[in-house]
Amino acid sequence: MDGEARAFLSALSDGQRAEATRDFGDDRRRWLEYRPAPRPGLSLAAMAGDARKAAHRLLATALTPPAYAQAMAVIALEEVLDRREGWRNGRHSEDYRVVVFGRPGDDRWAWRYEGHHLSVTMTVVDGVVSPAPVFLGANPARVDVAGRPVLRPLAVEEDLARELLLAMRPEVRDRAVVAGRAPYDIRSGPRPSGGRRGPAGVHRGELRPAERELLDRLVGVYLGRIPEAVRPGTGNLRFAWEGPPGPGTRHYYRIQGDDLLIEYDNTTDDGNHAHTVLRRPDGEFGEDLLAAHHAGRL
Amino acid sequence: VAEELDADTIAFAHRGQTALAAAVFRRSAPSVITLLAAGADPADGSPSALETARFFGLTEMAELLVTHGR
Repeated sequence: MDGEARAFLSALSDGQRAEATRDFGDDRRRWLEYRPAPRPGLSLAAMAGDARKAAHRLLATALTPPAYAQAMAVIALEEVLDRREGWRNGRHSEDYRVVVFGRPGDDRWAWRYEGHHLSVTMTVVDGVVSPAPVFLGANPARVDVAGRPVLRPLAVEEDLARELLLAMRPEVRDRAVVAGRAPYDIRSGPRPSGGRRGPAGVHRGELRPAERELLDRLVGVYLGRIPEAVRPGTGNLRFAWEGPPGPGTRHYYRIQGDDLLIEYDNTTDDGNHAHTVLRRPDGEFGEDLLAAHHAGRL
Repeated sequence: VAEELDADTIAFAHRGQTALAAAVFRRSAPSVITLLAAGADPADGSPSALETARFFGLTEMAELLVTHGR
């Protein structure tokens, strides 16, 4: 990761490098903004081909191959969405920015790759990577031809949760469904602190083995976005669903663990605009590592 | 139909659900019709294909099960 970040910065002109770098203490290091909005960093549109490739190679150090493919699909959807909107909003697939906080290889540094529906922040403290938050969204969530999807990058995240809901015994499902209406966004929102959310829903221990396996697979999809060596633990998992169960409607779920928050929402009327996020309430933006670093434990 | 017997369908089967329920879940009308023609029972499995359609409010799938089922 250090090497790819250095390669990225080396591919930039002095002016571009200034735009792509911030001090580690910059208050925009702890930041999550997945909406179309101004954001720090150097835009892909401003990068030459070699710098853009270096930016993508940096992103690939944080994402496994399937998640990297999802991220590239999310970026491509920006052009699809712009067309659906009649080209009015000037959305484009180069409107993503890369920013590096501190110097790669220092005892504390971080980077982020971010734009509409994609935000990946990695914080490195004494060589240890803190891999959250990771946000992926899709609008449209699904584009079909002949009833089959051309693009549906967050299909597994949607379908596995619905399979889990279907597999549950009614009395367990009643505890998992904590609201009849879905929220308008992920509940943690574009805020630099994920926190914990209530009601927590049904505990993994209340599930039968087949249901538990589905929950584990679903969690595995989210944790599988990031390299195995940096994945957070999965103790005390709880699953909560909000909204009706059917496809093509507004719905939402969250999975929480000891230091884990996963959220999914699909909250347009036609159920075709999805958000997902992997967060760590106690370790976001490397907070746990930084605390240990300052206490001399790292 | 064989093409539809992918990992998801097999996982459905392991949970006591049928290939027909899996096809309903995926809203795959051609698979539903083919499975019904081959004798699949919409009431088999737990939850069954019918229960799956009802739970998710898949009215078009429920209609297929009724009109093409025995």
